[in-house]
Amino acid sequence: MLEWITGKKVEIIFNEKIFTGSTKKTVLQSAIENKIPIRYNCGSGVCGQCAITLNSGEVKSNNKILLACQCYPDSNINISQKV
Amino acid sequence: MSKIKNWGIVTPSQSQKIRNSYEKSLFPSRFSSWLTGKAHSEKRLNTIFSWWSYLCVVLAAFFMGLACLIYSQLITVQLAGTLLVLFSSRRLAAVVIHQAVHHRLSGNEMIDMLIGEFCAIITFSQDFKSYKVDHCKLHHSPETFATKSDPILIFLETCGLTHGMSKSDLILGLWSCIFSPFFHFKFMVKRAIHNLNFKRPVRLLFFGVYYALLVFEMYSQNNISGALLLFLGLILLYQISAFVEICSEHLWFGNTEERRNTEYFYADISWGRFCGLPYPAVRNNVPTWYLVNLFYHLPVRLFILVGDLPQHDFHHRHPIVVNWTNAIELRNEAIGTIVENEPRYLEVWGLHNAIGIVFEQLSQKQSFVNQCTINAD
Repeated sequence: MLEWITGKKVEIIFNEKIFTGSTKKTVLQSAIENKIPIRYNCGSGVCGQCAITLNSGEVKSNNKILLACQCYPDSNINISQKV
Repeated sequence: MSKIKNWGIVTPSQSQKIRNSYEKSLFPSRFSSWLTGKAHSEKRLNTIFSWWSYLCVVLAAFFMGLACLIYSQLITVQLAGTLLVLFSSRRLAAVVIHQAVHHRLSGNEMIDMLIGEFCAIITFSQDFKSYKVDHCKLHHSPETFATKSDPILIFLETCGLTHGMSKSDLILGLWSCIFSPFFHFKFMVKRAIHNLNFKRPVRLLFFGVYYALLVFEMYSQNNISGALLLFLGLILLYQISAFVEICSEHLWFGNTEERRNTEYFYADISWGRFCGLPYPAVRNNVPTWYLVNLFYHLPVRLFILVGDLPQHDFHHRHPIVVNWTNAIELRNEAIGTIVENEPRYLEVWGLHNAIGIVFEQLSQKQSFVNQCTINAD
């Protein structure tokens, strides 16, 4: 019922680790909440440290380069980040 | 005596003993945690502030300070107003605007930007947009953090403090800047340029209206001493506070080539900067301990290491923490839940010791904190 506030639950596969995220939370937020190690720094889409690659699924993002702190999953997604 | 003692860096366990020794004093535990910036090991005293209540209190203090300076002719009230303006403007710049550029003030990008710009206008500080680039893109990037491309280091260099100077010259340079009219003039012009940006007409309009109102009120009250004291608080003392703070913030030039490629590139060149000293074992030293706390560490905490600046290293390790008003407790928690391969936290007690470490590094060609971490074991 409160899906329009909390968002829809989605499954995120990040570097082969699976966790649950939400369409209303950035990928970075969901990763941190699930204690998934992810490289990031400023959290505001400027430093570029949290750049990720989308392997499958859909995300909402205004940037050309996908940044975990700026993109919201639209469906179940599979993403990766170079270590 | 080990090198660690000379540099003033202590391990979290040594540091915890210093904080816990405050329990022997007459200071309430909550006050001790706030004053030192370090939480007690067992008593969990979470902050009473949320982001919005913190913002409201700081803004109220700022405008109350302004009101004292504009509408009162009593010099004592005006002096209190000057301190209130300094107290609040430093918090608005170093805490509120800082969290806003990370989108961690309210968590909403647009609200954070509006609050950030408003605070930047009223404190006459760098505009939100350019600060965001300077801070997030350059200060938080492994390639440029604490290198000659870091905007804070560029600023220090223009102030005459640079790599390779002797420690005594650096200390002399620090004091010279504090009292130099040239330093204050340059700093003030830099702040003015950030605000007089004709490419951003809406912001410029707000800036113009705000300062026109301020000048009009000052003029209509014919309050010359108030205007001078506002200049003292918002310009001169603010600049001294910001300058002294950045002189102790990180191990400038410590971000070496090999460190840049590591995950924790910022960890051993950042530290917790705490205000205080161990409670004396000898009873005769107790009055001195109170005097040092009240007349040195307390003013530092009120006007220089404001807000979550004592836990600035925690911010670099966890930059997007939402509950940043509770950084004192969160940092202590993080020490206990350190992940594998994460370097240990470093802690320094006393602003003078933190400045001493930074100047020690600036005076050397090689970075020495890795060695310091090894010695601490």
